[in-house]
Amino acid sequence: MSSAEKGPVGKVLAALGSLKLTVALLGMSIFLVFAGTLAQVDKGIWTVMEQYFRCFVAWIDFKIFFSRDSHIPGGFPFPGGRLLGAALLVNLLVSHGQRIQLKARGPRMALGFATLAVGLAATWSVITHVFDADSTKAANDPSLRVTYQLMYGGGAGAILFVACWLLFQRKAGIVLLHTGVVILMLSELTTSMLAKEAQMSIFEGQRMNFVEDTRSVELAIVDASDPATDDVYAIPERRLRRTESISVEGLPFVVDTDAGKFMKNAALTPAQPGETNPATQGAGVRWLAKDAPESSGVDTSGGVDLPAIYVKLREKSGPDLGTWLVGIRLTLESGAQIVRAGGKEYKVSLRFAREYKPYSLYLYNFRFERYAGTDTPKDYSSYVKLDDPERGVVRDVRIWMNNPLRYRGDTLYQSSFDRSEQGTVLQVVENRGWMAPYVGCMIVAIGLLGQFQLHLLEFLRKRLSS
Amino acid sequence: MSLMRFAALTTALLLAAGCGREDEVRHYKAPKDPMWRILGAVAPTPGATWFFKVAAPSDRLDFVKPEVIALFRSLRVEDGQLRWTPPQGWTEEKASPQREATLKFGAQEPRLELAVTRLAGDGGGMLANLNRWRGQLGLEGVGEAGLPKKLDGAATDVYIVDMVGPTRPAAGPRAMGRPQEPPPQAGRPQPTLDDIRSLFSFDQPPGWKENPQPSSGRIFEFMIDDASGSALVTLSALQGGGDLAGNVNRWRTQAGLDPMADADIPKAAAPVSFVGNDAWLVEAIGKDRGIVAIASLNSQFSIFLKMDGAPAAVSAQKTAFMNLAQSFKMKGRNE
Repeated sequence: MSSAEKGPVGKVLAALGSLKLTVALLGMSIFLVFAGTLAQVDKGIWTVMEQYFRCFVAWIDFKIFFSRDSHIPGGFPFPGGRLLGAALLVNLLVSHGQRIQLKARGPRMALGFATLAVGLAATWSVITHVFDADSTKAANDPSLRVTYQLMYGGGAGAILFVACWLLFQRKAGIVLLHTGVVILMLSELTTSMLAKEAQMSIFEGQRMNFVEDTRSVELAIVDASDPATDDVYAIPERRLRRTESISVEGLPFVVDTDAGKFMKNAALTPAQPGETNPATQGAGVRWLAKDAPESSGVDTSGGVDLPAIYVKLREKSGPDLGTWLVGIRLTLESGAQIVRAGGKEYKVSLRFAREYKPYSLYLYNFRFERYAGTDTPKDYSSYVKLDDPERGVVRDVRIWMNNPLRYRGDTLYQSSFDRSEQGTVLQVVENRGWMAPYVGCMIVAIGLLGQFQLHLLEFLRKRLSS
Repeated sequence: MSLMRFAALTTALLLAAGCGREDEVRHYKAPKDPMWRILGAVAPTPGATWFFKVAAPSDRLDFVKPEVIALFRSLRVEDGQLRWTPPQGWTEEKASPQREATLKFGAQEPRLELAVTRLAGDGGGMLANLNRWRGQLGLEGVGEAGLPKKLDGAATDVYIVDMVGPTRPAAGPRAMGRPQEPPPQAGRPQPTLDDIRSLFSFDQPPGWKENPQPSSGRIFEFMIDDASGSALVTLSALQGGGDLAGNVNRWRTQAGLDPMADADIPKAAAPVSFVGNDAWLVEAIGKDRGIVAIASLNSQFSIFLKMDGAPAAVSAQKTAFMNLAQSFKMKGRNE
């Protein structure tokens, strides 16, 4: 059917599923990756991720394409990663809907769908990692961990290939490998929206049950009057970036924020006499916070941005409590500041966004081994005690490079350490779909191999029959 | 087309799941944060003051406190020297340039370390040292009322310090995995003292003698010894370095002067420029000891140039000290 013979819906579908659109979208994706890479000269990798890839429209500054001495103003909007990804997904699904047809009928179709159901169930099981929920119980040799994961994905892919062969015959491989691509795209979407990444820093002899996300901060207001637990109010960074009065039920004072007073990365200098200092109370009286350049994505030192903000506090029914400087560096160096209001003391601090875990880790020992006679790192290991009162789990675990602990949906990697070598930093990733990329890759591989085999078999059959 | 519907539905559900909650103020009960603890003792003896200190996560020190107190109770002066009897299972390593001894204890590896240091005279004063330790724990300074209590049952005067605070002492203010911390794979060699010294150039005042091997933690040391008395000039750099009020009051206390209220601190410090940075000039001349110091304070890296000695010598050499300060240049800063 020519395009002139199609109705409006047909024309739209033809355009959505066209190969030209595929090429254009892939070209734009390559350009977006190029621009995002250049932007990391000035911006942190996670800022670029949010502004270029995990958004529907990206704003690309002209200056990223020129020397930074040029000071070229302006920029232009461009489809962001999510928009391009969604368009590619629609393009893929529509083109397959138009070009791929079921070839099975009757019992073969029934068998095909039954096999497909089994394959999808196996794929889902592998992705939701029912096979490996707690790596501390896994008997697998750690060195074969990735091999096992690929085998699980490969097994699910093999079942799906049989289903596709029953349903689509000659095009079974094409359908399967594109299914793998769809899984890869959706896994990135779910990861960007649902996965959490944070750090757990523990010193030897310390027990820790919370993680901190060093990419975002929160204003923590803590009533510590109860000797057993702290009563915590945590205002997220997104609220601190706005100009608003934040009144929270249970707190006797209001926090006034000013969007212009939030510093993504702040440098502290001693306040000089005669210099205008916005802070009128607390540690900020002695320090002045100034905007500092954001840690860039090309910085190899692994620097972290240290935000700060000036906030005004005032009692809900009483006096102004003054302007306070709160910042990560102040918190790291001298802890929280004390605010007295409503007859109580509150500990106020800006800290990395925190999340408590239902389990705790106690660090027995951090070990940094070097090759004999050199400073070349050989191995980093954290010897910890995992303690989960809810599940009655108490177990000693070793976490070392490329051999994480997986527990309750979290993966805890050996990430860094304190320079005293008496403390460890674990990267804690909560990503329920971490198996999806493994499965997607194996499905793509099996789809490709299967398609080649089908063509080879067809070629051989024709050759033999001729 | 059913696959398209499934994909659209999944996407819509994911979008819905990801919206809204990030803006909410969270209110919850949480366990107390892990704390750090310093368990220490100060033992004044004729001509010197001894400091004993162990710092560790608070929970860990709870278990060993009785042993530590037993060690402090064993302190005694014999033949003019302070002696002690380590509890059973403790090991002792002898002097290093910074310490008189290091005592290792505790059943768990790595073992805890209790550092023993000895400073001449009053070691800068009980209150100044107490507040220095409090600062390391992230606690505010205290006045005379907060001075440590004397330990009962010891054969000599021993004052016990037991403090808990939110920040980690001893290894500087930087927490791990945080600001500018190198990743594990960095494995870079640390710069040597010579590397650091080569960054600086200066005009040495006449009559001053440079010590080519300065004490630990110092980059340069100059000795002055003339008719007015002797003094020592040091250049040192520290991560962190504290705030102006803490430094001013430490120097004042060392010089035998009363600490100042925070509001009066600006009166005791004059703004100057030092190695291309804004800095403070602080003068604390007491009856027996004088200190003139220039502090370039930065929360990441602070530089101190300090003259410490007999009050008359410090006063007489102040002009030379200021000339030295003005001549100091640092590569990449003011050179």
